[in-house]
Amino acid sequence: MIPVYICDDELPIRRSLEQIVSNQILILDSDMGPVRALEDPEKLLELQKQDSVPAIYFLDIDFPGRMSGLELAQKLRQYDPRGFIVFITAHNDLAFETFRLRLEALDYIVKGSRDAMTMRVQSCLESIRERMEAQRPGQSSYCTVKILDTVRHIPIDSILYLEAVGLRHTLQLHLDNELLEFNSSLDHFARQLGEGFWRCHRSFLVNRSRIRAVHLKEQTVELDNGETCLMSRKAKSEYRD
Amino acid sequence: MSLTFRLGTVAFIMGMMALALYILTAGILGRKLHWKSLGLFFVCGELFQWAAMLLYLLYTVMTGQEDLPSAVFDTACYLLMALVLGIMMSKIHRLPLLHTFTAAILCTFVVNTANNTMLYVVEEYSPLFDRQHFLAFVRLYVPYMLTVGVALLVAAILKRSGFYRYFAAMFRSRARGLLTLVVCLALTLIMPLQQLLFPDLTPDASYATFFFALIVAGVFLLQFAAMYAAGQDRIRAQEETILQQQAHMALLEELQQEIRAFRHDFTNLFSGLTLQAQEGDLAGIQDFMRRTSSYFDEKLGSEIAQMDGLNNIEIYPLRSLLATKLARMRQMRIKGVLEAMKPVNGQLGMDTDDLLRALGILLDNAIEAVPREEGQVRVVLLKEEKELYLAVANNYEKAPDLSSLTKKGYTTKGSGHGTGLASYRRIVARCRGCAARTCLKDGMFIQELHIPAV
Repeated sequence: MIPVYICDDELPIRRSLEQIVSNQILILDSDMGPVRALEDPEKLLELQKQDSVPAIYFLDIDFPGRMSGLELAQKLRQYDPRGFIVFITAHNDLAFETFRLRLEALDYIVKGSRDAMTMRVQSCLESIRERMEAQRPGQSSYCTVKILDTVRHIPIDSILYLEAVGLRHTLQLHLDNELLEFNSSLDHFARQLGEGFWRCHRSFLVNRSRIRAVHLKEQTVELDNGETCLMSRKAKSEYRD
Repeated sequence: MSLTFRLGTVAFIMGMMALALYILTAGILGRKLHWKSLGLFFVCGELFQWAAMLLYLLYTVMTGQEDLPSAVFDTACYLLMALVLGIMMSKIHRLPLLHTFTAAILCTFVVNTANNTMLYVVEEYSPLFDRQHFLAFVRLYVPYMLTVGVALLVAAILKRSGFYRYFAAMFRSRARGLLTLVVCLALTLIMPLQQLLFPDLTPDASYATFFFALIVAGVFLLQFAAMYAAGQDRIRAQEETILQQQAHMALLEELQQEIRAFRHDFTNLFSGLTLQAQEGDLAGIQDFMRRTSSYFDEKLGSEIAQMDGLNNIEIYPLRSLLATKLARMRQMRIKGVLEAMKPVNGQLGMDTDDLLRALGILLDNAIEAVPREEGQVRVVLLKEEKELYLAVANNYEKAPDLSSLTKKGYTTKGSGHGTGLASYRRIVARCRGCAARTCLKDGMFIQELHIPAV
């Protein structure tokens, strides 16, 4: 079950949203729930840790006198990096790009007529269900990367290889459709990732399950997306054994 | 005098030279002393100088002649030391090697000359002593310590006067930097050349004074050249600022025109509404409200949001860069969205020049990559407690190939291009604690940058 939280300081909004969400979950017949509606963001942070993650959060964009929706979402993300966040706002012209890019928020719901809200909630829940189903096969294991304040959980299957670049401990993490660059050491990841990865060169660590071919003659390792990594002589003799 | 005392004295002299070199170089570069590397360089300096001396001894013993002056060995040794110092400085302070190496060479010259002068002066004016230890102390320890003192003083003055900015201006272009390096090398080589060509001349205090004058003249020349270069740069920067402000003005004018049009529309709409109200047509009024509630946002929302975003950026060069790029997007009919929810300010772990360059590259790339119709560029800046988060997203006609994006010179525009991303990568790698992310998501190409706050 995926817990669902609604946090808004206005009682009518909270009530109607709770009803809408519960109804939609019933209609979708998906394993979401229980639905909890709260007023206090602090309380939500407490409750979050008592139940399982990932969870679904419907959050008000601001709580006058208390923390902002942005802050709340950031705190929630720290504990639940893979959760689904939907914002509730009174304005149609919400600056949503920040939320989408920084917090990977899913969507936002405009407070207003019940029909419009129902439609939006429905589409949110559907897309959450789709995403959960798409994730299922890769549920096995994750690799944790901490970049400044942000913790990311990266499915190990999506990692192609890691490359150490230059002398300043910059690491490039190559994923499907994504590239991360940050300060870290290859040794650290070699330890974290363990047997599934192969140190085929001083500055390359490849995912064994993503290797398409090993070219001994050219001393390269080809990955399943066509990229190639260098192979050292030591790794070559290792491979032969 | 015992051998240990002699060796100790030599080691002391060498150590002092290394110390003076390091301090002065840091002063010219305008950086704080880095104690660990200072220690490392101290050891390196000792090693190099001992090696040079041993080589010289070996040479004289092997060939049995002394016609090759020690100046050759000394110069080679000092050049090597300057190279080591240059490499060290470029590592610690993340500056180009050419820059730091030239500084190190210049310092070698200054320190050597200062040292020679001190030696002559002390020789001239010191009284005669009958105790050898004391004589050695006065003749050797004092001048070398004085050299370090001079280095400290000069470094402090240079740092105070902001000389490093002028010096850095000499390295804006490669040719200029190379010229500076050649001049500094020539200065350094004058003394050994003189010893090599006219070995009979015995240098004295007046000689040293001549060299001192040469330094002063050389440094002044360098300073003037650098000031001239910096002035040129400033003029160019001002021109840029003017352009950027013009772009900002254009945005304001546009906004004003739209407000005027809006006011016109609104008076018309309201006169209709007044009529309906007089007739008591409640349903009609409700219908009107529903239709026009989002009218204002549609008309002016995006411009106002852009202005809000720009106003929140309190790093002014950054604001004007964004204003210019947004103006360019408007000209090219690209939908530009800028979001800066919170004030962007404060000290960052990346210097402003690099930040501007990095964001400029990302924006230019995004503008070039958008499809001809319905192009969209979204820019997000979010200042958080410990970092500045920056993202540039754009839609695209043809999905870029992420796997080849890191290869040098990747471009969609044929040869000669593709230097932008490479220098972006260099800037990111240079900044400690910075992290970059590139990804394709929901039809957008997204480049994110996390910059730690100081």
